Parts: sequence; structure tokens; C-alpha cells
Amino acid sequence: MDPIVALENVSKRFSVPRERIDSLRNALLTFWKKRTYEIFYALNDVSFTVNPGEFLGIIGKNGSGKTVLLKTIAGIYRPTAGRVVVRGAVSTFLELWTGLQAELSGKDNIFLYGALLGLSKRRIREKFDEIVGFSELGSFMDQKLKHYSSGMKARLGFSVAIQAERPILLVDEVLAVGDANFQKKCREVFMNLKREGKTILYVSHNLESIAEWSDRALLVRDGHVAAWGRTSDVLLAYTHQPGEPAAGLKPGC
Amino acid sequence: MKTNTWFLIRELAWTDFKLRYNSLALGYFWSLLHPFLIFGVYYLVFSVFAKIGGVPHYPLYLLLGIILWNYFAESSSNGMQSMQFKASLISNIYLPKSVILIASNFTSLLTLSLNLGVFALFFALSSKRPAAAVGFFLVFLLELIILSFAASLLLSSYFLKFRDLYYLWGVALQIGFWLTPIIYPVELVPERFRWLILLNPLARIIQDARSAVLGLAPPPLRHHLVSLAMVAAALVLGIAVFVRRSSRFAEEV
Repeated sequence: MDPIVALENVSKRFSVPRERIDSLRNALLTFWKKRTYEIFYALNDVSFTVNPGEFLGIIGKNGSGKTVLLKTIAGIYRPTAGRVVVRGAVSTFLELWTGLQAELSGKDNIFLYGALLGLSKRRIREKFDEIVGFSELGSFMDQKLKHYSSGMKARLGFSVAIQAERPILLVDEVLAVGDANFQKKCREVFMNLKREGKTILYVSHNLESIAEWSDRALLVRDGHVAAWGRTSDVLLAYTHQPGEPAAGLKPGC
Repeated sequence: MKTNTWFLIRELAWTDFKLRYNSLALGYFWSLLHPFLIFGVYYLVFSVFAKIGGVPHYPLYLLLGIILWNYFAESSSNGMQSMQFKASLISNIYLPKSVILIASNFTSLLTLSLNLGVFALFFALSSKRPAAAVGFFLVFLLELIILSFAASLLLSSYFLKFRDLYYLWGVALQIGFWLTPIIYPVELVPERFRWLILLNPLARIIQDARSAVLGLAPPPLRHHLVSLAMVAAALVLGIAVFVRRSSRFAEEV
């Protein structure tokens, strides 16, 4: 079986110029000066594969490059070196209130967000009641989004996002919102998605959920792959990193 | 996926249009009022005070010129900044960047349609109604739309990197407004400079569009081919540059 996602020696470099050249004026005035850059490798020679239907848990300290990794796989960033192969459409759950407009109603936002996630108008209409039901925000549908709490916004975003029928899902630690009831619904959704054979790349600091759901796991450290393979091994590598607190168990998705 | 792209563009354009005028006290009414206020002032100064003579149907002539110029100025400026406006989208969801730009131009087109609608009303109510060649007008309008799109492509490709493009373009538009025969007829320009003015494709497009609507003698078609060629070249260049630069937008934003 061919892997559905494959990274081969992928590096992602960000070069931040030491002098901030953000205007034509500056560019013209300093064009003869040699530019020095602060080179920062967010990803360094990363290689791994994901099989169709696999649930890959991705863990690592803050700033280790997990989000850049997801964005590179999604095509938001282009790799500086190496090859990213993705054999299917990708749905990103990176910031669940991205693109939601504060001045529009909840209902309008469902259509807008759905459109952004690749849903057709007909499909959104068909699934509208289901989306509203899942979010439990029925009575707020006509209110402007600026009156929603951040938890409500995330719930709305999540309810729409799970309708996107793309085979590959990239999830970045955004599900730790909402009350216990909503958390429970989150878990069920992920179980279902997994059962449906979706390929899921899941970034989380919640090691309990990683242990529970992942078929395999990936540990990212300073842009490198520090460990990859059996979930228990990777979790061990993580919790025994120098300076890392032992298995933090946080409730939540 | 194709069906969704079109839906997405419409959805982005429409929500932007609603948002733009939602928060203003006069709402949609302002989108109509703006060019007409401008028209009112110029008409007062140049027709009543300064008496620019020899232009048949001067009020309609002036109004149409302002509406068409306005479209170019607004769509190119907003197109230039469209990536910035949608920064959170570009950073978190994979979208073809062209979708954002096209949606931005679409929003401007909505405003243009409203303005042309009111113009048509003025036209219908005017006492000595000239015979309008609507077919030709639509062709010239299409040229204007394509030229604006080309300008948006070029400007947005570099705006994220060179932010002062915003001011430079503002100044260029200011100067362009006066160098283009909008308030004054092209006949006012001394013969020896007239070719220079008409080198500006906008001058030709606006002039010919007005001739079509107001039943004036059309200039020889081969003159228009020059501006047609410029528009086509601008479009090709714009697309080439945009395609090259767009993969970097997510990092530069």
C-alpha cells in the first residue's frame, strides 16, 4: 500500500533579514549593502510516511516545529528542500475560527467557513441542521459572531469542519475548548472519523489522547524527527527528554 | 472541486461586500452616494464655475468617466491588499491565492454594477437621450475589468514584500486621474500631446466607452487595438508574476 502522505528529507527555512526591508524605499536605499539574514530552520531533514487510514499522533515541545510541519503538508508553506507527497485532499483544523467574520451572523459564517473548507452550497444546506445541532448553538444562529465566546466560536468552527469530506485531516491542538459534554462529542467524532478510514495527523500536548488514538506517533524536536514509530516508544522518548515534565495528563480532546 | 471554487469566490465576494457597507451608517446607500458626490463637486466646479465647453451631454460624460475610473482605482487598491486582508485565511487554510484576488475584484464589480445601474437611470431620465451602442460599451467595460485585474495581480504580488507600494500606488492613481481625460475632454489637450495621453490604455478605454454610450463619433478601431494589446500584455505579465510569487504569500503576510 502506498503511503498517503510522505515526506522525504523536507526542510523548511525561514530567513528573516537582519535589517527590516519592508518598503521599496528601504530596498532602493540599501541595495548595494550585503544583506545579512537570520536563518532559522523550522524543519530540518524530516522524513516519514503515513499510511491511508492511519492515525498519527504528533508530539513535541512548543516551538519544535509541529505547526510548521502541518502547514507544509497542507501546502500552506512550500518546503525549502525535500519533497512532500500528499495523495489526497487535505482538511486543516489549525485555528477553528479562521475566516469567521465577527460582523456576520452564525448562519452566514457557517456558509462562509463551509465554502472555505471545500463544501458546496448544496451540501452545506443539506447538513445545516446537523451542523447547528452538533454545535448546540441553535439559538445563537442569527446573532453576530462578535457576541460569541471563544469557546462558542471554536465549537461552530469544529462543527462545520467535521463536515468536510476530505480523506486527510490535519489537526493542531485546538480542541481543548468547550465543556465536558462537548469534549465527549469531540472524542466520538474522532472515533467515527477513524472508523471511516480517514487519515488523521493529530498534534496534541494531551498525551492521554495520543496514547488512546494513535496507531503510530512522531516526536518532533527542534525541527527534527526525534522518534517515529510505536506510540508507546515515542511517548517514552518524549517524557524522558531532558527538561520535559513527565506525562502531563490534561483533560480534553 | 471546480463547483466549489466558484461558490467560494461568490461567497467571499458577497460577504466582503456586506461587511464593507454594514458598519457604515448609511449602509448600501453609501456605495451609491460616493461617486455621485464626487460627480456633484466636479460638475459644479468645472461646468458651472469653470465652464468646460463643447462637450455634449457633459453631466453624463463626467459621471460615467468617474464611475469607470473609480472602478479601476478601487479594484486595484483593494486587490493589492486582498492578501493582507485575508491574512488569517492564508496562514491557516490552503487556498489558491487567485481565489482571494478574484473575489476581491468581484466585490468591486458589485459596487460598479450598482453605480452603472444608477447611471442608467440618469441616462434614461436625461432630456436629450443619445443613441447608445451598448454592445461596444460592454466590450470596453470588459477591457477595463481585465486591465484592473492585471493591475491587481501585479500589485498584490509585491505588496506583502514592499508595503509602501500602497502609498506609491495612491500617488500614481492621483496623478493618473488628472492625466486621464475624465473631467476634461481629450480635445482640450493640445494636439502634440494628445498621443501621449492616449498612450494610457485607461484613457482610451474610458474615452471609447463614453463615445459608445453617448453616441459620439468613435475613433478608428486600429487606435483601440493599441490599448487592447497593452491590456493583453498586462494580463499575461500579471498572471506570470502572480503565479511565481503566490506560493510565498503565507510567509510574507
